[in-house]
Amino acid sequence: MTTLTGTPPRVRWTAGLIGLAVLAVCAGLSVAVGARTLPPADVLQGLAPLLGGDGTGSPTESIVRARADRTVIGVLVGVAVALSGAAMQGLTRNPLADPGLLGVNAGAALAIVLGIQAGILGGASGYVWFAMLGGVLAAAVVYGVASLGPAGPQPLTMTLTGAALTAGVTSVVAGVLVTNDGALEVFRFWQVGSIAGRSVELVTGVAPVLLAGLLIVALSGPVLNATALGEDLERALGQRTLLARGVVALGAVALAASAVALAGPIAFVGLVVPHLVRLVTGPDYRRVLLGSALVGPVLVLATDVLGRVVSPPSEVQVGIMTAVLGAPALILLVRRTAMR
Amino acid sequence: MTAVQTPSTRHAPPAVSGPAGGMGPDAGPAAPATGGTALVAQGVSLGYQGRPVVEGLDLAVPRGQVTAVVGPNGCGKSTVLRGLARLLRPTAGQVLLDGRDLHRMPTRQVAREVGLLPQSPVVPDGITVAELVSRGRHPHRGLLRQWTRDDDRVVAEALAVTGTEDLAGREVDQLSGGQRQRVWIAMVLAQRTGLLLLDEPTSFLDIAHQVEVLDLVRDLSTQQGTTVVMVLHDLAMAARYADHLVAVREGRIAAQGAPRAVVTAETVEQVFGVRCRVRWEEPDGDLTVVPVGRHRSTSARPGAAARPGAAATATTAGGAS
Repeated sequence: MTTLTGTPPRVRWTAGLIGLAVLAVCAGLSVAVGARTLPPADVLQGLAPLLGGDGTGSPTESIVRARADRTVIGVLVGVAVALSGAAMQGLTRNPLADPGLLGVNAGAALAIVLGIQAGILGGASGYVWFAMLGGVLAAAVVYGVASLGPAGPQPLTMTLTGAALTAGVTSVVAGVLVTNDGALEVFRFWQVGSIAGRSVELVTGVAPVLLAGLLIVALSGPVLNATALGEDLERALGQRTLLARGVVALGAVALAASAVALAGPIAFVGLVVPHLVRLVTGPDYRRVLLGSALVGPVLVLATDVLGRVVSPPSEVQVGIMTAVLGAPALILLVRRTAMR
Repeated sequence: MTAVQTPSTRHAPPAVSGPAGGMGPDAGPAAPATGGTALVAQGVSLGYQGRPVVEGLDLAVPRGQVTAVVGPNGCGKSTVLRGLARLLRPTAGQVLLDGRDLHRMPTRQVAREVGLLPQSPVVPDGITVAELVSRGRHPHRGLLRQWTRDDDRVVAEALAVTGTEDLAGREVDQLSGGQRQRVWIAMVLAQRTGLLLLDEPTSFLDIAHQVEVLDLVRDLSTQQGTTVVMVLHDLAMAARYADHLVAVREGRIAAQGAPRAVVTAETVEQVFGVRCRVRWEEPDGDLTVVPVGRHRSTSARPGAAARPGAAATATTAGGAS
């Protein structure tokens, strides 16, 4: 008997393989392309020490090394942001939800600005911890406030509380920045979101949170599938709603906070990727999550590479590029859905 | 205005004249022990945020039969169903499922024994019929347990029973109201529970689709021995399709029992607050309920036969019982 559900398996496998191939190409381009043009042979030579070979200590090598780091971070951020966005959309049954929904990005921004203001922010690794802490705290506040209602944390109350907290926190951030030129100078580069100039060592620090989030969200497909049918049916199907949603929200926040810690707020990826994926997979969250984990890094790497070549010799940060490309993509998507 | 006539259906009607508990020979082989009660509410009070809606509810749902809960808008009949479905925790009393306290059972276990179709479930964008129905398997699946051949078989059966196999690949958004409701029922059937709770399964459906859905409910009861509790607001439809009627008024049960015992001019006036004439036609068990209202019947008024609105007649067609 053929499977009754969704797209035929052959189509899904083909789509998955194409996705993997495209991701490999993007990763290759991300290592090979940059403001400084390197011949392929030099790139390969530069990769040798990373793969366990002998290095020569040439400048080419350090360029390739930096690009490789950037690629790894790009992949992780892409996976984290896209999965987090998909989970948030599922949890809140809100197609416009994204990783910033529960106030994670705003909280991270506030923590960083306060860190700069207090002068205790030490280098890139300092950003990571401040962003992570701020993001998680903000999400905890949102979840806590949303839980105060009689029916516990509901999708709508979470969304509204997240929006309110974001608005409030953003105004505090703006207030600090207006009075502190130095902080503005540092903050504005963080705020656009970038995966350049981060070393892979940062990943080690974020890894436990990132992995926990990945594990939870990767397994949350069935939970989100039940949530999609509405509160009553979700419970009638045997889901302990508050527990299940709480755990998945924790995972989504862990991913969002890891991403914002590594790269700053990356716009649009978390919002657009799940929608793009749904065009192929349909609404089954097990497949939407899997697809998002593939398409997210593709989008981040592709836009990052584009940002390197679009206005040489300088680079455009990936956070700007994703917004530039993401906005039209979203509009196309909306038009397509509206016309169906 | 002429009588609203429920079209004849492909069924023999329920045994309206017998006392509750008389479905014996029709109960299918899949039925658990027939007779007795599947679900019992004892002194149950229900409410929202401290506002009591239902108080001191005593209710017994006969096993293998169709029970309809009727009453005017806002009387608490949907609240009753939510209490029976474990969606609302009683502030007093208890609900027993086969003798066990429903609210002390694990959520998943309840979901394997009680299926619920809420009034307005959410249709995920772009979901196909087969995909939606397969979500009914949720309570039978673990975190890592893969979809099995058995799940496929159950889903296929649910589609077959509800006559929705041909729609399997279609998107649910694009179906007619009646088709969509049958698909939702298929989803609840895929849950494989012996007890189905349906909250207004026919609201927003035109009369042909109402009949389509209620015929299906009857089929489930007679062929599979499924116990059904449904909330309906159409009294005539409820009397036509249910074995057991529960009339609710202002959060309390006004009457319960066989339709013939419950639907009388006195109870209809007491429950719905409308004076009416109730006629059970012998020998076939047709029920006619004519609200009286403040106006004379239009047909009795000279030259005004075509004017609508004065008195409506609701009739359920019946066959031999």
